[in-house]
Amino acid sequence: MNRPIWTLPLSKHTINKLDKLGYKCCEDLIDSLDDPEKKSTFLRKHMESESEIRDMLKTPIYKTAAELDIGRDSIATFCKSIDELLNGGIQVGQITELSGAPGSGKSQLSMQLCVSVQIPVCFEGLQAEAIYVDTNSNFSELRLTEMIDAFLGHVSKVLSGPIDFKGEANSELLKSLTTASMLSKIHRVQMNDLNQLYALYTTLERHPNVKLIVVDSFVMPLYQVENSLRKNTLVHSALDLLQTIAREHDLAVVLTNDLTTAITENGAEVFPALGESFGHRVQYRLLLSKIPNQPNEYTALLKKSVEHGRSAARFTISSNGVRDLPTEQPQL
Amino acid sequence: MNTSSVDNDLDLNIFDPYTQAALIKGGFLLSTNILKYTEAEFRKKVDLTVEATRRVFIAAANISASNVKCHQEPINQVLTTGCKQIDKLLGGGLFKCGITEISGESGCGKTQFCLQIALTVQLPLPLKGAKSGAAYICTEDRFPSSRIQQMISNIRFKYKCDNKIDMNELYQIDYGDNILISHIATVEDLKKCIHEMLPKALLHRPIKLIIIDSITAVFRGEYTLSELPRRSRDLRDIAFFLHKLSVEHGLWIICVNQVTSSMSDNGGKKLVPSLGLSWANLVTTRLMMSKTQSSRYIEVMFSPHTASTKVPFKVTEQGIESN
Repeated sequence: MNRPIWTLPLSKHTINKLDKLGYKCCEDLIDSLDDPEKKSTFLRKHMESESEIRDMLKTPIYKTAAELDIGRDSIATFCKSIDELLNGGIQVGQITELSGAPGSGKSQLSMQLCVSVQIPVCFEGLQAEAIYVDTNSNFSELRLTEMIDAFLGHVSKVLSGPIDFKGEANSELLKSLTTASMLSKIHRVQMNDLNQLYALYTTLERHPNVKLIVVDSFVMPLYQVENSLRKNTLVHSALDLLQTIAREHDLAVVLTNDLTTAITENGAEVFPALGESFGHRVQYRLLLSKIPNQPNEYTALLKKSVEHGRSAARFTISSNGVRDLPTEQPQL
Repeated sequence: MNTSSVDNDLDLNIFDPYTQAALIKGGFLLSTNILKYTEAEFRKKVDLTVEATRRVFIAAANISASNVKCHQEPINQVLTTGCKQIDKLLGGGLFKCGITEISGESGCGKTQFCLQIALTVQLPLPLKGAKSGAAYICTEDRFPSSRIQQMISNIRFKYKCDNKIDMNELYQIDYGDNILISHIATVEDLKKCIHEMLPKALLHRPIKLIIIDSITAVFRGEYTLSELPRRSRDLRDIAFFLHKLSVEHGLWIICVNQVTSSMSDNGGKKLVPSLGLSWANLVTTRLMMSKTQSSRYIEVMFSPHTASTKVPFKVTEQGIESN
């Protein structure tokens, strides 16, 4: 079975040209690419470069399930119960959605992840960098500094402890970590339009060690779009882009989403914005909420995941960052 | 059209000749024009290759994204509220960019708080001011001018003992002249004010603070039950535009909100800020004031910068002070 030329993502112009030259299927094209004489005749008529066409004709690479399992990476948070919920943390190569009412800890968890992604390899972290796409001005350097300081405090406790940390090089590395150096590994980008996410390609070229992209919030730029059909197109093209980036660069994408009220037959109900079709596109959906009448207690409900059914975790947000609830309730 | 973006126009030289020609032919020389489309739509429209379209989009997005952060001042600049305790509660003071909402029952000090910030924003930078003016949009009562005069005459004493700055500088500030006041009664007026008046005023005057006292008043009446979707859309538009202004110009935005009692699950009555989710989603920092028989409290409900805590305060002749 031959693949017809028109199925290639070529421009209309080129397809017409190729058709006139007598190319009907991709196999013709592959043959002529290997023939220098033929190649030059059709490349002259082309706007696509040779490497682009070769790229189009390449057979996609596949991996076996076993190979994939080895390559799996995740960003552990500092909260065990959330890690367990997500099978080790935020999964690299996937899109995770955090939704919740204002003040439910979405931005706090996002900022915590920006710190977590920097955990050095000797602590079984990724030792990578993060991009924080800030659309709603929720990026807080103050909070990040607090979280980093808490992490560094933990590191220095380990260093002074009895366990020797796997050799000289590692302890040197740990000692070299400073608040400023860790803060400089979180790249904040301000945006007000989802199409600006294309700029991430350039940012990633500049900082190749990025393993986490946070978009906080994903819905903010959409508030200016009136037409709901248009909104949908924008959402899906942005998700296409993020999904591609996540896979190509093998990094985790975290989106935050707002809640919205919808009138149903049972009265008003609250659920994540952007509708059903958005839910299909993200691999993990976490719904965060604050437990009423309990100061500083939050829940994370896993609404969608390939690994787990619906389950929930509890956490707290202290000045150190997102943490497990203390096992013993402190006396009030 | 925005004239400033002409300077930051797409640099055609980075593309190959065919792409250049296609862009010129299609008239796509402004990044904003290109980003109106999605990648797939644009590719069909100008008949470019996949790679070339991607390159055009990346270039356009870079320009457009760099226009957002044209505001180069440090983002973590804080504005004092004039009360040390409240500053501490907020993580140093009020953070610029984004909307700060302050809600509470009537008579618990919201307007006092706003008036005080309209003055502290004029203080010099070493005193954690911003050395600029304020725009005050009143929707409920008339602007309390006698009260602000009283506060103005007191603010000079308040910072008298501070030797960080030159006293002359403090005395030269014409507090009253730096506050622009606009009275508004309807949603349409508010829209007009925000979309027309504010951007112009920001060009001509050094305004760094916008106060809307209150955002709720205009939204309480005008709408019938069936018009609720329109109401939340209006609210969202206003909030979105305010947020955009604050990011572009590096402003502080303070909106006063009223409270509504809501029935919580366990039967008790609880006061929550009005206007619902469509507004709350766009609020960056939410503060709540409350009053008991003996004292007043201010509480952070949520904020990206700090945990939610509560401190008492009192209202004096000078304004808002800690106990």
